[in-house]
Amino acid sequence: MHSPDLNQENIAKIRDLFPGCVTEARDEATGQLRLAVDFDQLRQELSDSIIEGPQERFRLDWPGKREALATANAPIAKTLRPAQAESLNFANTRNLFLEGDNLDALKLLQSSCLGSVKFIYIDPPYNTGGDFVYSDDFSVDTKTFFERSMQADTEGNRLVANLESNVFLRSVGSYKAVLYQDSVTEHGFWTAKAVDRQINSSETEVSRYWITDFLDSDFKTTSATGTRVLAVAMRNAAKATENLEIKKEITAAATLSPGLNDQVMTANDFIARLGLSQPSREAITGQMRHQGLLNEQFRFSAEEFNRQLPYKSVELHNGAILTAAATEFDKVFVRSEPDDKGQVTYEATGKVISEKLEKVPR
Amino acid sequence: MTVEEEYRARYDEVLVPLSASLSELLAEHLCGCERVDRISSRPKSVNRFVAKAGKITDRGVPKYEHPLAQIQDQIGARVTVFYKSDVESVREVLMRYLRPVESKDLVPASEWEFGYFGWHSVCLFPAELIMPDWPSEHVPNFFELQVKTLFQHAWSEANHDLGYKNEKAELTADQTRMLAFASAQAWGADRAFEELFCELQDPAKGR
Repeated sequence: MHSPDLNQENIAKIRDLFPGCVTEARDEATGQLRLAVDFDQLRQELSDSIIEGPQERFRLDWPGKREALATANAPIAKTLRPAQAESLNFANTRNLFLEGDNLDALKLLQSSCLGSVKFIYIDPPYNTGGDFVYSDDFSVDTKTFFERSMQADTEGNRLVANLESNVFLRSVGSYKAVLYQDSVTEHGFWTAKAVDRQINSSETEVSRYWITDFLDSDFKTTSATGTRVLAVAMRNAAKATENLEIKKEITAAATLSPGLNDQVMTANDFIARLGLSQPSREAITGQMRHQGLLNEQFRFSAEEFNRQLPYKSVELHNGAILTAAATEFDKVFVRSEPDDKGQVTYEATGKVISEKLEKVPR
Repeated sequence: MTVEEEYRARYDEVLVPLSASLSELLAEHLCGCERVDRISSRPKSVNRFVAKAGKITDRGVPKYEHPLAQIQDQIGARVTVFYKSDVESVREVLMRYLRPVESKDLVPASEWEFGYFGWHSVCLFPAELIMPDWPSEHVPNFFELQVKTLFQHAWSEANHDLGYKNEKAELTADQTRMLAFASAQAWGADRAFEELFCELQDPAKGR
């Protein structure tokens, strides 16, 4: 039978009052982690002036840091043994894969790599079976792994055929998954279906990071091509149709489109977001080479859209705004020579097809 | 089915129409670009493909395990422009619309050599060119795109033709030197035109 550890209980009481002043330290005699009071911190909490103490720095501390430093500096008598049989292109490769205790390996690399390291990425060991202070056991059976890593498309269908490589991140309620595959060859060109369930808000940035920075990938369709296919279909639809309502909707959509710059979308999304009517939608999609293009993902480019479907807009100092397709502008509006005061007169002739108050995006 | 039969099926059904629509699309992209001499695209002929698919490496093994998937110039497109500056500007426009998986400037290995010069890229086919009713096993992923000056084009065409005629025998040292000489002249002519073009375009910068 043990009597209560009054020292630890007292410290726990202080922790309830001042959580920032209590830390864990390793007991030198038993090696056990025990609560300890950071007295400098406690003095600071109880004082209204700055307490003198050790110089402040940004640093990462943990119990056992001094021991780790001593171990890091201790010499070892070990060697790296090449595994030629397990290597690919051993003589010429520029890649090196080391297997072993990372501290030993780093010590052995120290002299040959000194001064030439640009970046080190470290990741705590998981699933080693070792006894760590952090939770490290994430081993699961294959079925659970596929479920948890959610290798599924947006409809929930499993994407496991010809699995070559996949990457996923997971946090509470969100995940990202990607499946890269080539249909024929082992070393062929990998195309991927990426899923991003983290997108709830500010999707552009999240998606750009995930696709371009993290995966070092890009959409198969470039911004300019995706935008061009859409803009050319709209241009041709406006030209081909006799329906003035469709012409007007396309003009309105083109005028609003700069606001979509840099957003990831499909042509379908564009049509839906700008609320185009069914007849306009049919007029536009009818001008595409095939309907598969409606679902092709790309990053919308306002610059390319304007290159393919330019609208010219002239604003006068009295508040008038004249807008027409750039190619039609001079035909639609007749402009007088400027008078003595530099004022011009625009004239347009036609049937009024619509007249309403609208909020114009500026 | 043999590789030849498979390629022949894909050639008739997909490569011929795909090649035609590719050159139309490139022409649309380059409409408005000055000094473009020609835009052409061709499917690799069945004979040439079969010959390439059967290549053996120095180590005596077939070069292509899956020739239909691995040979990337089943469709080759070439844009020929006047001057070297035009290569840059045309390339810039095309790269806006195309997704290259590799690009390189081909030059002879040493500064003391003359031979093949030109810019090559392997690009994904834009989705708008791939018709949904084509059988997917016949649709290649990539095409090879070249942007060349008139002189680079002239040299590579003649070199290709002469090399093809002479497939059986190795060229003699003197014949090889003649080809290198012609390449050096083409290189020099490109340099001369480029310098003149830049000077006349912007006399202030002329030397």
